[in-house]
Amino acid sequence: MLKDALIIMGKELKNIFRDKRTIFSTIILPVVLFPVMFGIIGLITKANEEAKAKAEYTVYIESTLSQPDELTKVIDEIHKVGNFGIVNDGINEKAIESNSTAVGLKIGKNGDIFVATVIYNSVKEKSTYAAQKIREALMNLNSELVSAELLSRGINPEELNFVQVNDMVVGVSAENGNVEEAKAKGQFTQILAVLVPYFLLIYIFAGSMGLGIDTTAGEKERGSLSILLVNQVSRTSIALGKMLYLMLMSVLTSVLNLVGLVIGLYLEMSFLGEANMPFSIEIGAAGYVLLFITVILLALLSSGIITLIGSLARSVKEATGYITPIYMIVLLFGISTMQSEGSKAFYYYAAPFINIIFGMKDIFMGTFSVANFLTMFIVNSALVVLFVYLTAKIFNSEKVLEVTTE
Amino acid sequence: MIRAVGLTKKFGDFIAVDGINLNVNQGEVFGFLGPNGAGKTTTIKMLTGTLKPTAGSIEILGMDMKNYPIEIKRRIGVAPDEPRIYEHLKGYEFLEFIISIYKLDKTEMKVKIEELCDAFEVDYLDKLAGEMSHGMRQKLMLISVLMRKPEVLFMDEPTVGLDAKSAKILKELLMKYAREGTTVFMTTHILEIAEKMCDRIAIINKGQIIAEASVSELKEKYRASLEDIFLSLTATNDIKDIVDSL
Repeated sequence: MLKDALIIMGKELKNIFRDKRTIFSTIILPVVLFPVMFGIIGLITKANEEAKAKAEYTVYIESTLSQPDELTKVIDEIHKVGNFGIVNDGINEKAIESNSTAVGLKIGKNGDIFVATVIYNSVKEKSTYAAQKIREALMNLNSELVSAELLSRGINPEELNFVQVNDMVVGVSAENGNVEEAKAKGQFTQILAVLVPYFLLIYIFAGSMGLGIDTTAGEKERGSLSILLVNQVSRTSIALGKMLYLMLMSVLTSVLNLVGLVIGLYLEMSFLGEANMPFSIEIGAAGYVLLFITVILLALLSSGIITLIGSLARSVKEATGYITPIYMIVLLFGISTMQSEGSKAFYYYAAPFINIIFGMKDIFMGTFSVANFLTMFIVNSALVVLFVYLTAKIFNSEKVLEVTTE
Repeated sequence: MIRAVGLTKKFGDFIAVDGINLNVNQGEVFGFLGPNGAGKTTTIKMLTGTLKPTAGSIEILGMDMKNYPIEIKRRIGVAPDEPRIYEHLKGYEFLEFIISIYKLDKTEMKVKIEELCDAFEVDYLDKLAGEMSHGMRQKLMLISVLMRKPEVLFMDEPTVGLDAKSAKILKELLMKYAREGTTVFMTTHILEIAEKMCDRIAIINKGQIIAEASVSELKEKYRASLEDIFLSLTATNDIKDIVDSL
């Protein structure tokens, strides 16, 4: 039976790889789309940051400071943080509103305390950036004044620290003992634990959808299914062959999408000057094996449900109508669990699709539990067997031949 | 070779085939005639295991269809009325697919394919099925069936879409196979083909067999041409009135 299923799978693969549109959307697009998308985002962000840093800003100052050297100190601090031109003859609100590189600063004193108000246009990116820089300059001035005051009272500011905090990182990212490296790896692992389960879930399901509908309801519509049915191959083998083909394609699609995603993230980070982030995860050989098993389970589950529904439907339109709501639910699972951490209560691992998300998060975060993984494995395997059984039943009944073109 | 008893197929309330009995012997060319919607294709689909009968039994090559569907399919060949071949497969890939499904000897099949391609003037096996005309796909489908030389052949309108030469070759080939022991069960709307090729014919109308005999027996019984017999039995002999009213 498996041999026949593999022949059917081979035929489906040959059939699909002849279609240039499928080759483009399945293989080329995922690898190209994310790098291009994230690369462009990175380039634009970098260009924006550079433009903001290089721009010449005007600070309109309205000062009620009585001592001229106090205002000089403020202006000196402003000059230290950026390229600012000073106009010390009051606030020009119209200019601040219309010109993105203009900000205002009202400064005076309440006793010994400098009281400042920064005026800017919050809609304009450069104005917001300039306001932030002015705040930075004022905080620097504050630190200097505090230090000077403490020193005048004979106190070393550094001796005022009564709490010293050191980091020690544990877990999957801390195996070589280098704290800074472990922190960076931990950060990358967190990103992966959020993105990978979500993207895999979406890509595997979405990747199976179009192809699954085409190979089941589409074949019914085209009438080519009847060729298989009159030949020497059991209908269970046909159902299994179609599922295997879908599974293979969905895994291929998701792997290519992930490769594209990682390259895209790397490009974006590189453009933003964060290329030192380690693009590797340390989940160990066992972790990779478990991750592989989880991905296969997800592919089987998605392929199973799509083959089943596609076989039940009498047309591509009907199949799309049935599968789209399920896709929306899967999408909701993905979005709602994106920010959740792994290692949830037992019942999370009994819920299909959700258990796969948490299973993957556990592997990334090092919170893997044999009991939870086994629960996930058993629940999903049982569902896959059920889907194969039901699909085979449909193929063995006349439902598989029911066609409507309405 | 082919036995059907009380064969019935219902689609909801509609009775497509209504308790027919069939008995086709080895080496016979059996013509199954009837107007559109009479139940010919539904009967073939039941006899070849695509559809399950609502009632009745089918026995092919001495095996019950219920118990031995795969074994029966291994030994029969079916050429459907529409050659719906996978559009993205090339001609030779489709034949390779059939060879792998039936686990046939590739070398032996290659020789047979070459012979059949020469006979039907097929020189487009490296073309995608989607780029082929109906007739080209029909020839490819026939080659995929005939290369195995099955013991029982089910042909649903086999000459539709074929050029005159190919149609003639097919007819001669089927009769040759029949002489060698192959049983041929074919439907056709072309009464001339039935008259020339078939040892016996059955006429089905509204799901029921209304006549079954050899062409000569029918002609003798009704003292008319096969066309007139067919038209009178299927109640479509009001042709003159229809033409006059147009």
